[in-house]
Amino acid sequence: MMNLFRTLFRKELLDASRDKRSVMAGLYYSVGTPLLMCLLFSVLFKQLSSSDELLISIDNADAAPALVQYLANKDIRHGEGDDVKAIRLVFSTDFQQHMQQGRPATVIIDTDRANDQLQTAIRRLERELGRYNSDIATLRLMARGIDPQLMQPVDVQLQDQATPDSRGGTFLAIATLSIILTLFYAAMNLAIDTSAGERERNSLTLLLSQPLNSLQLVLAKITAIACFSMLGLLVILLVSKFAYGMVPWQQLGFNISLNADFMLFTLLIGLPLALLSASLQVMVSFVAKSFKEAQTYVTMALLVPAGLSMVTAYNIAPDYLQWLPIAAQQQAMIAYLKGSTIAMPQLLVSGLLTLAIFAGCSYASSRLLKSEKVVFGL
Amino acid sequence: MNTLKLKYLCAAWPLVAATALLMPAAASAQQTKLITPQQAKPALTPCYAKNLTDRMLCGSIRRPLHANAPTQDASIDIHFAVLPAINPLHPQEAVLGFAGGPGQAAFDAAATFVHGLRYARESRDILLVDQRGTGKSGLLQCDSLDLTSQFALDENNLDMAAITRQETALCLDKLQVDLSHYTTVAAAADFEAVRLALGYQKLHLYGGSYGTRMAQEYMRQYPDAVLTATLDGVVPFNQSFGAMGAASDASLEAVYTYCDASPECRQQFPDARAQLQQLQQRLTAQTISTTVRHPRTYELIELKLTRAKLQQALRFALYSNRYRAMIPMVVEQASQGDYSALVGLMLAQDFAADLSIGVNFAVVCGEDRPFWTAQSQAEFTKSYLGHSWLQGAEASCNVWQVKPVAADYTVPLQTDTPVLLLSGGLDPATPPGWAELAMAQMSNARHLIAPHATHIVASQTCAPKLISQFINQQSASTLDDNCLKQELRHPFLTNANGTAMTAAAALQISPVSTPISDQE
Amino acid sequence: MIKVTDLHKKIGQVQALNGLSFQAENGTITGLLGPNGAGKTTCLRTLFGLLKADSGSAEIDGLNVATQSTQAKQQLGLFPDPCGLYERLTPREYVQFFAELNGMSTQDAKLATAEALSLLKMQDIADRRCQGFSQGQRMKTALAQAIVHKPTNIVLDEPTRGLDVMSTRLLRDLLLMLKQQGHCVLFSSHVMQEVAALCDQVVVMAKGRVVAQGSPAELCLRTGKTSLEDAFISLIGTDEGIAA
Repeated sequence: MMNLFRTLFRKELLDASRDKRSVMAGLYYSVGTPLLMCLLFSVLFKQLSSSDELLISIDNADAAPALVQYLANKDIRHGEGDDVKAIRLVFSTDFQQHMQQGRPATVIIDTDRANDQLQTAIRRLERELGRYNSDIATLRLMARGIDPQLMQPVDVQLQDQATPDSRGGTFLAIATLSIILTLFYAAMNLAIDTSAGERERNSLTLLLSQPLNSLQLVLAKITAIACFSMLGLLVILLVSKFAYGMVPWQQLGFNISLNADFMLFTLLIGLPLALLSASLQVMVSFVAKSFKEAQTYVTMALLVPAGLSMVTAYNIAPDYLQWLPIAAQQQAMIAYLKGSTIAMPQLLVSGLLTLAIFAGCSYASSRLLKSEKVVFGL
Repeated sequence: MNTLKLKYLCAAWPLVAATALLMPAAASAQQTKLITPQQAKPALTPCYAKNLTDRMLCGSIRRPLHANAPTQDASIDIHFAVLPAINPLHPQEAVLGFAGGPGQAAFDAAATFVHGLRYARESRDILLVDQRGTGKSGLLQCDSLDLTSQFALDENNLDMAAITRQETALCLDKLQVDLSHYTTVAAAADFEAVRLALGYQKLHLYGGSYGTRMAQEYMRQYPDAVLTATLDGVVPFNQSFGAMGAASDASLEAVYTYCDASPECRQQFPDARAQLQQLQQRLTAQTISTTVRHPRTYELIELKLTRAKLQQALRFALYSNRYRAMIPMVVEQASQGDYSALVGLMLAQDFAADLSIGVNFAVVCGEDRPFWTAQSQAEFTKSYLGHSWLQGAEASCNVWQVKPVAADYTVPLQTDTPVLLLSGGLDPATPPGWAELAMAQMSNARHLIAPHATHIVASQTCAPKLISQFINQQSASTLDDNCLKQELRHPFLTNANGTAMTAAAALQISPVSTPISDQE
Repeated sequence: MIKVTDLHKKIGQVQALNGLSFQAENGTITGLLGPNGAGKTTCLRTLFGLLKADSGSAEIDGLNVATQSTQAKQQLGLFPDPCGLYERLTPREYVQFFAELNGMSTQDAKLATAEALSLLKMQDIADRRCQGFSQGQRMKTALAQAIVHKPTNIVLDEPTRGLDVMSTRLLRDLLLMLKQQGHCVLFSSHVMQEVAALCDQVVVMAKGRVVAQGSPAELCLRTGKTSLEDAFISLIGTDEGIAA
């Protein structure tokens, strides 16, 4: 029994490892995704980072020279040309008079708040104007012999439990999403090849004519595919460690670093997922009537894990989803990276659920192989 | 009795204002009591500093109080805090911040340090140690006056020297401490012990104000532990705090020079200098007794306005470009009998409340006073602040009886470690000339001056970026100091609401017109 | 010995097997002859256990394929059509894999594989991947796979299809050799010459049942024809689906 499994498994592994195209397709994902994200993040950061000079249009600057100088000291200046953001700051003509009289002097920020690219710049401008407000108010009170602290009846002190590793938020979620999905995408081609492909090449009937039972065959295939999923996972972890190390996270005040412990943890919780992934894809491939059809169905089926992962990443998942496979594992990875507490009940339940689905899919596949329709693709 | 307390503060604080700037707010830390065996790595617990949301890790180590007789029972827990690097690329290094004062607690000033070291923190931990006798490391503090009592004190008609002696004796009686163990020289070993306990191989030093002297002393004793040092607002070994009187006067003069050059100020306050001199003379001759509104309670309280109070108020105002812009208006209003704005300026003194009196006098009496000469005393006495500081220090030190440090203490630090010195051109406490004195024997030093900055350049300019570059490159030679030259001075207040000035004036281009201010 | 008794199998709307019964003895070569659609492949698939008969039974050496499938299958060597090669494996790996699947230990399988490969004179291609093999090379590989575990019974589905003359002769020699060794050889074909030249026994199928069984000479005699082809046409009553 065990010998038979080993023989089947060894053959699947050998056959799959020689399927250069499928293996490479999987590895392209594992290698390419982190690199691509590294690139995307870097570009994004350039937009988000606020330490650079912010050029806007300032109308009627002569009306408020002190404020213009204040903004200039904060690297917010009037500019001309392409680098200027579509934000117009307009000082009312009576700005100086109102200032002198202690009445509010009007400043208009003319811009499009729906424009995502301007969000950071607008917030920065508003923040600096707010600080100028409080600066001037402070001076006005002091000039009257009043303690400016009276304007701050409540001293709000925020104590942030976040660590540099935990602030990544969305980026962290996207990074873990890409890592989790490797388990599915790295094995996709192999899974289709070893099932629908095997049938299309007529070797499936020969195999099934041999003295073995179909469950052994299915398990051997799933295990072999899971091995490649795990290889993909290992590769993406290593590449991610390298690639994310190059992203200047610290400019935004946080860090995403994948250490050896995290990698081991991820490999551990990824193992059941790899089995789930392989069994699901094999089952779907067998249900399909042809290789091409299998590709379509598997792609569609993978929308489910991708969706689960996505809602987890964007933190829009209802609570019960946190008990489901993929979502729970991803939460655990995020928690691990953030250094916060891992929700063990969820992780354990979803681990068991993952294995249950793996068992279910495996059994279903073995039943399918007893069906003439499936075996002959009728 | 409280009254007397104020006296030493007024008379003897050398760099108190530095402190006030360096840490504008008191600390609220989640105190954690730690008792750890000497060898073991100290336990670290999360903690938070005032005005800093980031989580730090706090701990402490036990140190003998007497460096030369460590077998004696007396010991002190030195508390420290680590702000972890965002991306720890150099886990074996940390940036150690030294606070000012003397007597400021580094942890209380954490927000200020983090602002100045925010780029350096991207790749290295920031380490803050409360110097012995400050903050949580056994703060040596005596009660101080509340604002109402301060206002009611008539310095002109009291024997301030006697009061100082009396109050100092009370404080000594309360603290029961030999301040000889709290000098800069004695404290350096604590920093080294913390470094070893936390396992950092090398340190980058950042000192502000008096902290620069602490940093230099640390380098002198442990040269091999230091990779770079950044000294911001430099206090050299061979300069007495008594010289701060002259520095403060020069800084005040710069305010008036700038006023002369600003059309609005010149127009609004054509006799600004004369007004100041007249007011000073008048207050020297006699105390003005009046009532003012308490700045917080709004109650009517008594104010005995004296030269001492005026000078202190101006001295604190000089530390900040924002307050400097108020000075001509404050002086004019006070000359005309309206003291509200002056009361506003006097508020700045509140900031110094948490300073360690013990450490302050340990440094003044153990490291400064022993090196006074007749010539230097005559020099300091030329300025009002220098004169009153000398008197106060003399009176207090006679009580404290601190053992003088070794005679070679005042020899400038000789080092080839890369050193970056930063000075503000308008600094009323540590003018650029002081940095030149400090770097005389430094073979790998660069001095950068921000012409319009006051005390502590890192809090006001682009210096945080330069500091980070300097630390990363371990060389100051390629730093581009252009950004330090930006205009930081504020337009002068011409009335209680703000400023009347033109764009041209603000940018120091030739003035064209002065807007009409129709005051209500 | 292969014995099929009263097999019925309906695939879709078609009654593919309709009371099929025959027996193939050890030490003989039995040909399963029939036009396209006669049910040859269905018959063989039922024999392999891939299809389940609606009724009737198939036995290998007296072991029922449906109920004692593992033991039965171990006595069976298969030469499928198409060959069902793994393109990325070498013949040696391929053959050894099937040897192990049939219950041989790794060591035994290795020896048996070498034996089978040398028997088929395949040493030159034994360690090349099957991708790009000629039809003959494929046939040999499949044959090696079918005989490697030394089953008593060897079933070949259209073995000569697409073979050139040399390969066909080689196959013929092999089958004769197997026969001499006392194996039961059953193959399906619709090529008259092959069947005529090789078979001791011919089972003629049409519409899912046996229409005649006997040696080629007996069949000719029975129909009064001189060639097997004519006899075949006469037996099934049409010339549909016959290859010349």
